[in-house]
Amino acid sequence: MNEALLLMKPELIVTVIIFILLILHVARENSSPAYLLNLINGLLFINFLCGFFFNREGTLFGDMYVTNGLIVLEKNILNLGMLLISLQATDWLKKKDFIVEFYVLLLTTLLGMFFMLSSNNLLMFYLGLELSSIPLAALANFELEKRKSSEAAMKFIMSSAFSSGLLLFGISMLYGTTGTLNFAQLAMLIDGNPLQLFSFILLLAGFGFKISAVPFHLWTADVYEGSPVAVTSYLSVISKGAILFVMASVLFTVFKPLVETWYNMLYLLAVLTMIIGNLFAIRQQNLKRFLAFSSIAQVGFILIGMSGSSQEATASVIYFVLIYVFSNLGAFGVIALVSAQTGKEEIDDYKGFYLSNPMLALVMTLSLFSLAGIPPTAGFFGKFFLLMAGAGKGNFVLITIAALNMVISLYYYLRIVKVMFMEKNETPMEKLQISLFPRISLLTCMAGIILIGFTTLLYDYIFSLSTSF
Amino acid sequence: MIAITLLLLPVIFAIILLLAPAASSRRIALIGSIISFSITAFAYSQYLQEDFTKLNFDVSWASAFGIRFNIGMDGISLILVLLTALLYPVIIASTSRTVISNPKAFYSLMMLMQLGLMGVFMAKDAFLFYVFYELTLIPVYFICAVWGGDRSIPITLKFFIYTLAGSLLMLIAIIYLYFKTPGSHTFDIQAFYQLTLTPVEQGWIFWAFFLAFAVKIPIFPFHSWQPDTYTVSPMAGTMLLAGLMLKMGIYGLIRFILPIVPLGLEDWVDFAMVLCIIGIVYASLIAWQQQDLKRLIAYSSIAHVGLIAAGVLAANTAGLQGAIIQMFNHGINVVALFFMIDIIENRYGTRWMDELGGIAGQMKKLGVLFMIVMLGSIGLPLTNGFVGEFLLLMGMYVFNPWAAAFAGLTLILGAVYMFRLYRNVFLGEVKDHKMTTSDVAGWEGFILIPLCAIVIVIGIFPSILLNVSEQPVQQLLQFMNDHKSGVSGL
Repeated sequence: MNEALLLMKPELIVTVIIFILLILHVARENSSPAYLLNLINGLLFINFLCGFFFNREGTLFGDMYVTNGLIVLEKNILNLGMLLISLQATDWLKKKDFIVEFYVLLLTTLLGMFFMLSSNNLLMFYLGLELSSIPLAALANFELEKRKSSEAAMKFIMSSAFSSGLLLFGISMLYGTTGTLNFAQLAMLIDGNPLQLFSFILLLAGFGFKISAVPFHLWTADVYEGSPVAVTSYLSVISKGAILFVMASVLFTVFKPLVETWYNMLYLLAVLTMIIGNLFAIRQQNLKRFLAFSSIAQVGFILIGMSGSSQEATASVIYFVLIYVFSNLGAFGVIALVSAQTGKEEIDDYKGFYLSNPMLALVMTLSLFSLAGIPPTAGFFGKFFLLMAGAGKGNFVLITIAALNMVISLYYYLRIVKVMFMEKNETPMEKLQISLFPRISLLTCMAGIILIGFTTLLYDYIFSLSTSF
Repeated sequence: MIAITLLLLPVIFAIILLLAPAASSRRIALIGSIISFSITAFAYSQYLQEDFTKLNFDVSWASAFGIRFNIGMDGISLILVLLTALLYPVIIASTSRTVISNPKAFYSLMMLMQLGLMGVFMAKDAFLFYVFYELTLIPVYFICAVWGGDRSIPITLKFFIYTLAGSLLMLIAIIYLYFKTPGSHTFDIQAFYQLTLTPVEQGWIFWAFFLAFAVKIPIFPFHSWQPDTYTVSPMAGTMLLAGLMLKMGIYGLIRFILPIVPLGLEDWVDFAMVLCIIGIVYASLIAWQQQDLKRLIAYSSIAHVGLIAAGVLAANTAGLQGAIIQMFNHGINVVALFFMIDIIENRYGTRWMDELGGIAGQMKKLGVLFMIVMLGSIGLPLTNGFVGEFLLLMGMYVFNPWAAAFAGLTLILGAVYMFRLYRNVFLGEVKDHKMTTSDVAGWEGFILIPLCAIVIVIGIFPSILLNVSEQPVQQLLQFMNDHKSGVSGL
């Protein structure tokens, strides 16, 4: 019994936090926002710390639920991202009335992702996925008075429902041909008959929607723009990261027999996603929309890594997502501060940002450099390992396309840097107050961006864990 | 130990700079660079005593891909490290007249740049080389864009994207070579030397490397970023670019192209050589027409490095030895020239040739010092430039007499445009009536006199550098020839 509890520790802690919040909400209805935020961030920090202790490996619920070192690591990465986003959101949440509701929804999605990561069965996977995506639609609508926010929620729920439908259709056909939903058994029974191929394509399309790979990306920009910043960063980092982790495990366990087939598909998806994401990012005027397209291009890069052999692919994808958490949240942290205090989100508003807010401009610059993959920021090492994983298969055309895309992406990332540092503004932004929580979060991101690249021990560690696949 | 200290020092001083008050930034940076120089001088003495143990440093970095943090110095590296360490105090001291906004950031970036340069010249692991090679871009981009003149923003953006595009090709080539290494793969450059690649592969890799380095050097027709960037950058940035950064490109040619893809070089060397020679003549002709002194030196720099690159591509002892010593000389000369132009601009408020004249009458010492460096730059016997250019042309003659003949035009054209500069600016009528202009004095002399002394000392005793690079050059050529015969024996 004790062991079973420990196996499910991450899920249980999140559930306990949800219950604490709900009870607190009923018992002390008018507690101040500052008190609530301190408490919640404290709890999330404890949650993050707990991820490092008493970790066990094993299966539960008749092989439905599995956990091992790698999955624990993935959950820790999500916990870290959750904590950072929560710290960044304090300024915005202080002005809102629905703090508890916000966190209950957010933590529910996290719970769903944890179940999804630990799933060893397609039904369990689907359950986790739905648990994680429906509350997100409510979250996207959290700017209640804004029309765009409602639009974002509507678009998100529609596309999410559509992709879930595709996934479910694919899963049902897979069940029809094999008679099982267990990952290990599926891997043995899949032989590449046409129905299975068809179901695989449906599954891949479902995944494509969730990670917004081109041509399934159309919802992304609108949803990112309309949602509150905290939700946008959650969507682009946590939600995407979790699905990428699961996608890697599904591809490398369940569909291992079809590896030749899906290699070509990933190739095509990666190329399209990088090119379209990059070309659209160049023309954006809204910073959140811009980051939406840049994150699409990043997914294209991740798909290159995923097309490698299993161990390297898994390790490089996880390593990149970890770095992506730091670099993207560094950028979103600045946007969250600016947006909460001034309401400005256009790129032009950032003209001369360096003069009034030098530190924030520096944070943003480092984050963008890391996203662009310029050495020696962590982002470069992340992209390098992805390229190495992809190149392991000997496909240098793909690598060359990726390198050309890095040049394009450099152009638009530098454009933001240029705007902040070098352009004049008639109505410059005032000096922003950086309170303690966002400050901690931004400092953590900076430390991650600067240090992770040099301590590649971390990569070695992830690499050694990835053998468990 | 020495090697890693040289890398750590700039980092430590960059951190000190960020913490210390802004008023003392320049002094701290100067102290840091002088300490680096002393350590490099010690390294030089160790090398002469053939004690190589302290010059190397090797630890595992990312074992999953066999990446090692492996740095060390052979003779070629040592000369370039020495050049970096020597020019850094000069460049930092040269900024003392100009008022720099936000000096903390400026000098920290300078230190970061030194880290990158030292790293590139010492890296023995190809991945490490790439990381340092790119690391230099960020500081130089900010130095030029933030502290630069008008239109510096679009120009430096072009520069950044141009060079990064080039080096990404190099990254692909390095990854390709990595997967060619036997067993559990490695990024060790020495292991790359042992590879046997087919001629077709070598052709591709040659181009990937050549484009990356050609942008940096720059070789015609990849030079279009260079004159603009040099012109708009602040003087310190220009000195860094011209004196040190472009040496990374030539160093890359020597380290990667010659020993790894000798057959690729053999197939394409004529084409590349023609590009270099076109660059030499073309840049000299444009330099002849320039009115802006800084731009004139920028174009003359394209001509000089074109000759150095051609000497490397000739791939024989004279050419390589000449290239290495000329890299050192070019660094010294170009920095001294830019520094003196900065003095002129500071005193007269302009660096346009038709607004200047008769400076030698007003500033006698500057006239003499400029003459010495200028003679070095156009390669008069007994100056450093002569040794380098003589060896380079000799190497090219062995390669192909016609190539040497055309490249030799640089000597004549160089003399033409430099003497034109001297005549218009230093001699002739005084166009400015500020007769109170003060001559070179104090610390300016402290900078210029040693540089001029180096110009002459190396002109007379070139062996102090040539001896250092002799043995590694022979080894490199040996590798190259073994490699060539190894592949053709397949």
